[in-house]
Amino acid sequence: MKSTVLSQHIGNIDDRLIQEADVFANKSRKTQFTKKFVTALVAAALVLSLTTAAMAAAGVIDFNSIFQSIFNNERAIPYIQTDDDITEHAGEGDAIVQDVDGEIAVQYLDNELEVEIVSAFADHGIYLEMQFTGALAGSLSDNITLINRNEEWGFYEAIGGGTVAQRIDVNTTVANILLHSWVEEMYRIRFNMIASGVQFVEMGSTDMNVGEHIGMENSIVLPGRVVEVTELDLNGSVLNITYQESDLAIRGTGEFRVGVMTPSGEVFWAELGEVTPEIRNGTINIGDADPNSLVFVWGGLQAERIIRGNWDFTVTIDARPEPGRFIGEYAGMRTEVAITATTVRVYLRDLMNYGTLDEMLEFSNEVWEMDNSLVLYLADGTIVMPRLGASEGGLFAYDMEFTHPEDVVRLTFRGVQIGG
Amino acid sequence: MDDSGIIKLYWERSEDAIQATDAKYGKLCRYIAGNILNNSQDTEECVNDTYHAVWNAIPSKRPSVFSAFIGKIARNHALKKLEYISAAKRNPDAVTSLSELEECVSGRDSVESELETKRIERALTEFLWNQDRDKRIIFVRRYWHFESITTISKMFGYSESKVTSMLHQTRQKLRTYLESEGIEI
Repeated sequence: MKSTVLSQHIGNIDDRLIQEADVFANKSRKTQFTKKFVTALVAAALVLSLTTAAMAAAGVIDFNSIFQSIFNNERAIPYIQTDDDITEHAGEGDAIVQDVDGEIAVQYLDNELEVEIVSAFADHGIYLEMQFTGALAGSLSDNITLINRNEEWGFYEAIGGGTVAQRIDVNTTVANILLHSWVEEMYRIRFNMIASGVQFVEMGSTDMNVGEHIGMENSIVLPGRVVEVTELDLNGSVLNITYQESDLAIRGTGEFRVGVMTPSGEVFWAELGEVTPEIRNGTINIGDADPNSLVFVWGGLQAERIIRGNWDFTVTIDARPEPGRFIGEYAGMRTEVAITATTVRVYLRDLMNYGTLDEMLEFSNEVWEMDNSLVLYLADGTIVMPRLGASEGGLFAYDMEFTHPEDVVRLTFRGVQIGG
Repeated sequence: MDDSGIIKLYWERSEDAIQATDAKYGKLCRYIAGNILNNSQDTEECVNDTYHAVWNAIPSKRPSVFSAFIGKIARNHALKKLEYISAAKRNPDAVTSLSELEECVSGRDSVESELETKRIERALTEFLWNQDRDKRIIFVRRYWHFESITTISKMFGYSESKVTSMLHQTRQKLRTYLESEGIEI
């Protein structure tokens, strides 16, 4: 092997290794910057004090104007944008989160932002979501500490900036956000209140991707096509909801609820019990709900990771295939079928998420087992449904002997995409 | 804009995706490519190529760690570009970094199957996770980011000789590890 080849391999190491190194470098750079800044500040202060002392003694300096100019330095003050009750969340799909009855007050105090949730959405707690934009988004975000009445909630690190979210319990209405960094440039913080785990789908549409919300532990995650409302029958006061089979992918034991929110904010809940594969449909009595109401899904699934998406993937090789390799691709997932004279070998690889293959496969294994997701149909009527065990480093392989000259190999692969 | 928003733009085939990517990750891409190419014009071309590649990759990919995703693409493009640049123009750090890796390999030409490639990458990942945190990060900064010994030593507050020594030890361990895994080096 040549060193250039090894270097190429190093280029494809686990994303988390790169992320770890980036986080470290980012912190280190800021530490170095702070040290330099403090050193320069001390030196400048020394010079200033000597100079001003001399000038003051000479009666030619106005201390007030000097310090006023220092403390009025707008470059050190972040621009804050608050959305009192605007909670539209840019999730995937057609997520629509209506206004909730909440207010958020933000006050900038020196280097501290005091955030007060004046009122919260019903009884579900609130996500305080901070979005960082601007030139400093990346370097700022790892300097955010959320303090809840002197108890540290968490220290967030997000390479490249982005969004951090923190759940605020119902009884906690005040959060202080300490900004530890020196702000070199203006930046913008936007606060959104998002009711915990509430996912809204638009009533009346047949294409109802449920929006995704990046949740915290024990929060609801009912994303993208996992819960797909295939039938909405607003007949009188009854709302019939039928879920596709894809809700098999929902795991967990938490309570699962479907509700309707009227334009006035009134909520009707329907208890559907625990999520099990058996639950495919439910009926909600929504009374005299306005046709413009929103249907939403709420639950307490204890998902370790966000589950989203669902796909079917079919490779059909008509008649007995000639030896060779066949590669199919769907949404980034590659399936490779290698065929010899007597054997077909099926590889499933590169599943969806770049760089998180192992992680995804490790987690989703259970789902695949549950779904018997790899199905091989043979011409003689045989249906082979191999149980996919733990993958060997992200690669599934399954060998199948040909037994019939007219064997047809059809792969139907169904799984869930794991992402976050 | 958060990563999911950017990725969504790509999926919608909105050209705003490129702008959003540049605003958020342009600096990262330029840093990675700059470490390898050491030339602002080449670096800029590489970054543009990176955006183009991301545009072509999404869809169908939906990367979960977008920073690493785009970083890898930038790195690969920069390395390819490096091959086409004359030796005189090469960034000494990148070249030195590659030459250091020769300790871990035989230098022979080899053709690896896709399976073997995956296996090697998994082995590398596993090896690195089993190293001390500092050694692991130093290795990644040196051979993934192509950072200079000087930069790394400042980052850690170590002397350059200590960083050099740590890298040497890690390379030796890596060679032994690859051999023990039956990987042809």
